[in-house]
Amino acid sequence: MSIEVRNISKSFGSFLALDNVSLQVPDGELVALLGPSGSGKTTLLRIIAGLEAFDLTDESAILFDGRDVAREAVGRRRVGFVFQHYALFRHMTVYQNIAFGLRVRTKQTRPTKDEIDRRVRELLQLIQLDTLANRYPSQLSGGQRQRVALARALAIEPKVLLLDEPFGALDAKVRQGLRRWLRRLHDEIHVTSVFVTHDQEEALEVADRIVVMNQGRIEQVGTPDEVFHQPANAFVMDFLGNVNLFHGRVEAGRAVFGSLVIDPPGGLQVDGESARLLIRPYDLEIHKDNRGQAGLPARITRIQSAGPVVKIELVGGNDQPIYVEMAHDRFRQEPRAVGDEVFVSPRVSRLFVEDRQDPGERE
Amino acid sequence: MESPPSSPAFRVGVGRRRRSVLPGFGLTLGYTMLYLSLVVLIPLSALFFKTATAPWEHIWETVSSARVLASFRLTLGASFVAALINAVFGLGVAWMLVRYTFPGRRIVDAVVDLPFALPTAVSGIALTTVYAPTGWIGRWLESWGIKAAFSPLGVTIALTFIGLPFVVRTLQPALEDLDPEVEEAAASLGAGRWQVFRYVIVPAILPALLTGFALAFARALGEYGSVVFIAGNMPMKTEIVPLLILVKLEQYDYTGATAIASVMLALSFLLLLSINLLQWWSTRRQAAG
Repeated sequence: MSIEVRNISKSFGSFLALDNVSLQVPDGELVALLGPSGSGKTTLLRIIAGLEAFDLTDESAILFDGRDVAREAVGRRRVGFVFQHYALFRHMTVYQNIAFGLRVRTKQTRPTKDEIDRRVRELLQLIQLDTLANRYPSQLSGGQRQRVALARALAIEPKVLLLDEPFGALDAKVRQGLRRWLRRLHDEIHVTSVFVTHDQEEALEVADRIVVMNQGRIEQVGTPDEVFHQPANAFVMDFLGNVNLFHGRVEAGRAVFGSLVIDPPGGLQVDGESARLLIRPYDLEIHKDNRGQAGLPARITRIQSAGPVVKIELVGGNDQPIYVEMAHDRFRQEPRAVGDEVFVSPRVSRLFVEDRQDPGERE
Repeated sequence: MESPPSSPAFRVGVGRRRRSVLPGFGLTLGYTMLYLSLVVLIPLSALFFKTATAPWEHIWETVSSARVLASFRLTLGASFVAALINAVFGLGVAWMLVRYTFPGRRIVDAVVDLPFALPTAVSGIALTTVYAPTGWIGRWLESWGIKAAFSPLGVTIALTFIGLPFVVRTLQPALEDLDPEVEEAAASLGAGRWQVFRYVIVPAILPALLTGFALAFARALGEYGSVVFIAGNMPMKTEIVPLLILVKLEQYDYTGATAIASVMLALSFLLLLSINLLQWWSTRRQAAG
């Protein structure tokens, strides 16, 4: 079932948590709401679920398959909601937790006892916990609890599955396993899902589409590839992975960052404006000498070679920290040492003038 | 979030091999035993010893006399009903104090403690004034043919009054502990308000509710001051056990008084023990999550 959110605002006192947000989630997609804390992503999710009221205006609406559900109570919207801290019923067993949504139905709509049993057993198998049906939540690990919470939400055959930082309370290893599992699960059952996360890696790995949010607004909506490789603005680029940020100024149609000069084709028409250059750590190269290229002088302060890539920390002019990542074989070819005076130059960079992205990506 | 099943470091070492990190187990145990003995156990056992000095026939005769039996019935019955009323309405008060913010909430919160703080005789006189046939409320009740003061109903009213803070104060932390997300989860699964209350909230606060009930009940069993004024103390009708004990003492019938007291003590102990068992059973099912 598709979800459409139209012109939703929400204020807590004088704080504007959501500022006229509109969003469409096509049927069957797995969408991530990604943003720092306070960006309004959880508020948006709770509003979609019906757990939170929003500032009612004439233009605002929440549509499930084109039908406005804005005035429907949470229990009637048939949404499966998964909480960060599981919110399991502590006095019920795993089995009873999963069966809850079916057992509280009215007599007319409640499945028979056997039917409920069959459904719960199915779900227990789906979450691979069929042997733990009679355990209480306190006897389960965090990852198991979250799977139970998911099964409980799926038991009511929701039209929409909403997950609020579902892996936030788990440790790194469990989290990785569980998010792959969620991706596979979604490929099997295809229920329209929205999940909230502040972890860009999680969003990139799991979601079909990513909605990047900041300060109550949507900054960009796109596939993981789109938001990662074609960020709409400096915020999105900065949020999706580490970047080196350089501040400079536009002079004579070119952006100048100390000794590094970016000359986009066509030139810049905004002389005197401040400019920002964002470069991913793996898009920076280190050279021994300047070789006539526009490079920034820097000194190596730390080298960390344990890990998939070699991470090098440098200090440039004005004590600006610079982070560079390079492959191990590259590092072996040209070994560097702490204290070396070198030049760094970008292979690929993104130039943002006053937060408007310049179309020219420099190779 | 993960709570390790039991961390060996903090297990109190009964065996010699495993030493506890927290020192002073022996000291605190010894102190506890001494203190409990001096303050509770020795005085209470003196009661039984004193009773035992009397011939059995005399004891039996005392406690099985119609007047004593009637007072047992009244005290146990009225205390039970009062604790039950408090459990229901105390839950309401605690719910309101925890869940809602409204002007004057702190004042209401403080008023709940008044029955704790007032000298019981003062409460007794106040209640009698209000509920007597000439009092503000008693007059209304009288016009409907209900006799509040000087009847078992009056006893129940007084016992309800003094038991209220126990239920409210034990329930408040339990209600504050409730995770609002659990209720939201239940609502999102389609449970109505009543179902959320019945299947999610009540089981979670049941241990605290039982504790509050037990405390209010225990307090009511021993209450004297606030009851004797409103009860009217008519033999066979509105005489509570503590009063009867006092009456025996005034007649220098010490063994009679201790006999009644012993039976009362044994009964209270049994009742409290069974409530504790019930509570243990309901807590056992939900270890800290």
